[in-house]
Amino acid sequence: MKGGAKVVVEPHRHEGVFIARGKEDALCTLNSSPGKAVYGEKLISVEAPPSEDGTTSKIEYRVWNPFRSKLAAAILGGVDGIHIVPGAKVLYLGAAAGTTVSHVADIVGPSGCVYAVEFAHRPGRDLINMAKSRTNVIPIIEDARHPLKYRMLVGMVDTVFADVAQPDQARIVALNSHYFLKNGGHCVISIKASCVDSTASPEAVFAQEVSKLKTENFKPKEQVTLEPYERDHAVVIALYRPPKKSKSKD
Amino acid sequence: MSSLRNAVKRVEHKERAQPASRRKLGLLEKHKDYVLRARNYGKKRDRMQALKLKAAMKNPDEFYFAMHRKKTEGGVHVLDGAETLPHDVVQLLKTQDLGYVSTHRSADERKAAKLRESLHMLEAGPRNKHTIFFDSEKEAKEFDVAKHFDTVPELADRAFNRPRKDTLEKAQVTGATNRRQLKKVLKKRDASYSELMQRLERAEKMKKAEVHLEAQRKVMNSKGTKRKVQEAKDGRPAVYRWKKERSR
Repeated sequence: MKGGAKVVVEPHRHEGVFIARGKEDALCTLNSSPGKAVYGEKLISVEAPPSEDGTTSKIEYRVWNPFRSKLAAAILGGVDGIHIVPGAKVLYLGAAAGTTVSHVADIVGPSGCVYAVEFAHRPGRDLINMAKSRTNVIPIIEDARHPLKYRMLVGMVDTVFADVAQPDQARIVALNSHYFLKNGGHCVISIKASCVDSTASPEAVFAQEVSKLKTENFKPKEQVTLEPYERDHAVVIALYRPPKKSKSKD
Repeated sequence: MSSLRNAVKRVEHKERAQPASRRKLGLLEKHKDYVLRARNYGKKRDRMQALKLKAAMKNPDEFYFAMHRKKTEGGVHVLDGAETLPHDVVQLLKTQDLGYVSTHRSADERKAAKLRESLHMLEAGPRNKHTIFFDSEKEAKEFDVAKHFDTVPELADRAFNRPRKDTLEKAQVTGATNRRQLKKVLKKRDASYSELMQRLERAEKMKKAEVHLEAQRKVMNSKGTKRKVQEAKDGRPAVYRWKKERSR
């Protein structure tokens, strides 16, 4: 490229996530299959700092659109921790066509693993196609309400991410967590207020979902609403079966 | 004093109503009615005089360019283009307007979505609500943003990216090194942001226009008796209700 790179990439609070500032003003992740875009997103290529022997290489990032992904919107909303880090194992409920899953797969990297559950066949096909180029994604075309059906495929996971937009979402997440989530693991749930209860106010719906999680042995840590990217959406992050506090302090 | 004045007999009122015997002639004109009539008469007389004078002093060679377009028919000045279009033509034109507006609205929305793919409104400042749950009141009281997020105080308000302290130490910013070139690029980015905002704003306006046109068309096309149940307000068109009628 003439005149060098025209973009600055700064590391984000969450490992594996970056912010590109240049012609674009964008959240992005490292592209694990360079040169290929998954769903037509923009690719940003930057020269890596030269290594000790003086050779330079290119690093490629993929733009992560917060208007399409609830997780991206939550990250830009300023969540403390997404609990999706390099090497983590993630159970992703409601994977759809795998657009967000591809970014999660980029974050967890080759040592991590993403179990992507989607019930509908049509988006499931795209999900499987995406998984062909990302070997750390395990696509599962099953109903998330019946975790027993895919118990043979999924091991213990560190984090459960759910974006299922169903009225009984909290129950679905709890059911899956009881099977697959390790003690002290986290769940990250995206809640669409109108999907749970279209008559109540969004704040009331979020509070109701948080209290449902509490009854299922989750301890809520934080909640962010997703303005300006989505209206009446929130992402709730909770700790599963928190470790007992030691009483040595007393 | 006023009681004394009341005691003195006052002047009799000179104006009377129409006597009963002359009732068939109508109401009797009073002085104040006469004043109104006289003023009106005087005004009309003066105006007529002024117009007559003007007509007498007319310059036959006077010319205005507007005269090319205007004409008289039998000495009477007629206006061009004052005739109304037929109902079905108006209907057709409204349909075409609606088509035009909706095409351009969808084009604007599509282009805005394309721009938004890589413009994530990072600097716009947080517009959302971030709730953090604590075990006790004491923890909530002692809450400090920078400490909680493990970052430096300067970056505590930067919701879209609050790097941890060790990230700041270890990781480094990569990419462009040419400051002047980067400045140019950032200028381009600002231009794209302004385009995005303008497109969104225009799409919003056209959406409103579309709703109005659609409402007008429905009212025009409708048969049967209708009643307005709600006036137009807040940029929304009026709401009509039609009388229910059996179709056969």
